[in-house]
Amino acid sequence: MSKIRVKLLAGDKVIMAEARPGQTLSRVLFRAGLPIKLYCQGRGICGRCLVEIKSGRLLEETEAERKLRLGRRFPPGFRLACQLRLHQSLTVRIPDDLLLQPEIKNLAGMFPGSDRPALRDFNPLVKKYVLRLSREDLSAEERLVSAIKSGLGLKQLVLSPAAEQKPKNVGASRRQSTAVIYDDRLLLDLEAGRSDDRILGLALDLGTTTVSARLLDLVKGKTLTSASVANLQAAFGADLISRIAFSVEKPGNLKKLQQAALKSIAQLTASLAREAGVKPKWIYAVCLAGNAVMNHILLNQPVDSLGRAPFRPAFLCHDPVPASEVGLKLNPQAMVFISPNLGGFVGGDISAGLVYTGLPDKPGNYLYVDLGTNGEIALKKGKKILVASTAAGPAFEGSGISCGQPALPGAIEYVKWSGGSFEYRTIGRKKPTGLCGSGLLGVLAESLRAGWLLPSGRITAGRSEVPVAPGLALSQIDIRKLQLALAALKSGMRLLLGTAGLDWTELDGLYLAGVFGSSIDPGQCIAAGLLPPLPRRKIIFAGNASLAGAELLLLSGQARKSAARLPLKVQHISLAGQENFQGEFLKALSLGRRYWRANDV
Amino acid sequence: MKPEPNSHLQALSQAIVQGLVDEAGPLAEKALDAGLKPLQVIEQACVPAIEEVGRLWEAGDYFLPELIAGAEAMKAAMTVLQEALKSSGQSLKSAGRVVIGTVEGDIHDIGKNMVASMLRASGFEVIDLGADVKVERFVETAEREKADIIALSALLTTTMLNQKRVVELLVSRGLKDRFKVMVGGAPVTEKFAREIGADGYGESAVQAVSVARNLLSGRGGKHD
Repeated sequence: MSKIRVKLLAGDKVIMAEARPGQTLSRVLFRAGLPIKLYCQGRGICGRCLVEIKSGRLLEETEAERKLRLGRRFPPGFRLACQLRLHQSLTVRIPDDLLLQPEIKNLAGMFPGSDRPALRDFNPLVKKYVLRLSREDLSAEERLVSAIKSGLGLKQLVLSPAAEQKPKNVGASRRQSTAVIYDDRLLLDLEAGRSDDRILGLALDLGTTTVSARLLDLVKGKTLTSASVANLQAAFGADLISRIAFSVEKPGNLKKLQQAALKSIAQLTASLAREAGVKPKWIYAVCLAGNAVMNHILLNQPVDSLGRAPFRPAFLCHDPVPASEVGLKLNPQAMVFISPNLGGFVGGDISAGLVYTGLPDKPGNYLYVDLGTNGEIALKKGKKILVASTAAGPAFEGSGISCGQPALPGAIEYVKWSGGSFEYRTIGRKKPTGLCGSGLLGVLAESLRAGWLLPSGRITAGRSEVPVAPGLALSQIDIRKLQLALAALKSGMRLLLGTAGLDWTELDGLYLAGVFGSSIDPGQCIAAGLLPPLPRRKIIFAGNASLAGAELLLLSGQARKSAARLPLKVQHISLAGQENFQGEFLKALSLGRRYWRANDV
Repeated sequence: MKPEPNSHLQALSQAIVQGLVDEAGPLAEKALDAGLKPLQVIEQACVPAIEEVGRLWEAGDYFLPELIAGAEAMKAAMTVLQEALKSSGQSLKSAGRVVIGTVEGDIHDIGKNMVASMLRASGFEVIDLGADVKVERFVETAEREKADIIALSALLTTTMLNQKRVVELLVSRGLKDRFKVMVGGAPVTEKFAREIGADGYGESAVQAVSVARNLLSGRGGKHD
């Protein structure tokens, strides 16, 4: 059978594609490398994949299109890409906001919002459909659910547990109403009238120190705004372990921690909503990416098992829970999706980060390193993923170092030894107030190069400190603390590689996640000895991968599938339980490239 | 003293300070071959050497790898020298007997291993129970082994409470005066040690040695 020629206009690009007679236009677009957002997965019910037909003869509208045209007027000359079957040559313009973003090769963006994940499919966690329901449909709950299910062509649909608490919500008496559906399977609500343009999602990185979030428009798949606040739990302990200790001290403390987290999230939500000019009650979905201790606390689950060996979480995968049950004040029917835990100290933040990089479904060997307090590491080899957590400590967050500070304005983020002195650059070009993680790594790398430091970590020539800027110097004790943090990560990487029978030279890439200064330099990471000396192109900075992952999970069904499968693919390794842990750790204390050159793991 | 034996002592001492694990044993043998008495080698080469390692640690010159290498080199030399003592019917006076371990719920044992190595290198007999050790096991082993000191390591704020439980068990069994308890580990502080009723706290493996010595200094002669 002869092929049909289709001319595709997208942005300023013109693409000539071929189609088999009878093929849908959305399929042709996908094959031509121009995948579009199929909000209702091509069922012809949402009316959002409108494309403009510039020329060519068309077949008649389909039944689905006719129905939609009755309900909402779509402009003449526009057709649904998922319904339009091709039989003649034609020219089509694809609106920009209908296109899925192309794969982002370099995830380098360090600033919030710039590391927007590459969408592989568009399937928001919560969707709305405008429906016309008959009086009979509305007469009983069961009838209503079944009418919506068949009307939308869903395989299964049940009433959300949150909706069951308030069945009156599901009884809008107007003729036109809007069904709110979670993950194509849960009916959250039936809203009176039309409200299908108002669906927001909250991507939430609930960190031990900082809570970061992004507000998303789930209809358009756009990030509206992002922000961070301090986790108010800090009042009960700075680190995870002290929070666990606090939670078990007396009954009621777990609740106090949960309330503190809820308060932080409420502050954050309020400021995000204000900035975007929206209302928190428009938020129907939250994707929670937090470490295991944080997600346990938010769900009011005891954390004592996470505070002692073998550090078992109460759950890996968790069913979505109504936000109202958790205590989040959003839309009353909103649901919380929980990115799965992979182990006691490899939590939902790491699974979200892994999904963000696409690493679980990529061929090849990859390392993923999160430079946080726990320094989580994942190694993918073939179909398997090994994960482990290390006791890196908060040194890279600037904590515990005499002149350390978080990556905030005034922090020295980049250091270079040049012409007999340290040159430096601060965040926001402010007067230097301290060094953040990237600056500290820079000092190690440049001090080794300039001869201020021996690979053993000793400051040379009887000096007692490394002066970086006026009033800012690293003491011998600071250097030792950084050596310990580096060694925890380095030995962790080597032990995982050793367990998998891989050499670092066989890696296809290494993702470095974490919130550090924007100027972290792969060359300096290698020179300091933190990372194996891979070619630069193989080292990919993923920024706050947890938050970006949470965002992706809100938008992509494939990402959610990938996350759900992760716990099955993952094997958790206890590093401290490895026979050669101590020897490897001691070797890893040496600075510089030497550690990675020695081949005797 | 003849110059030649002296140079043997110096070489051995240097090997320990530099952490040359493979050379320390053979150098100890050479010293014995040259006619030096085992006790003399221990007192004039080994002990000053390990003290120098401790001094370099305190000065910030040495870090964990150098410290552990020094202790290992010391151990290699002492194995040779103690064998020689034994065959001449003598034995070295023990600095004290220590039961050591990382407390229940905690699997981190590098720090504990450092302390054990330094204590051994400094003449203590050490019974290492490993990591994730139950409260009862510390007390029972100390009783059975007639230990002088129970040394408890904890690396987590959640597990350091088990250090307290060991002290409590000793008190409840009326054994608190029989054993000295010393505690250590990243989250542990001098204040915490006092609060739970421990007798000593060391910030590092080097400090642990002087703490252990001080705890036993009031006790006079040591039993075997």
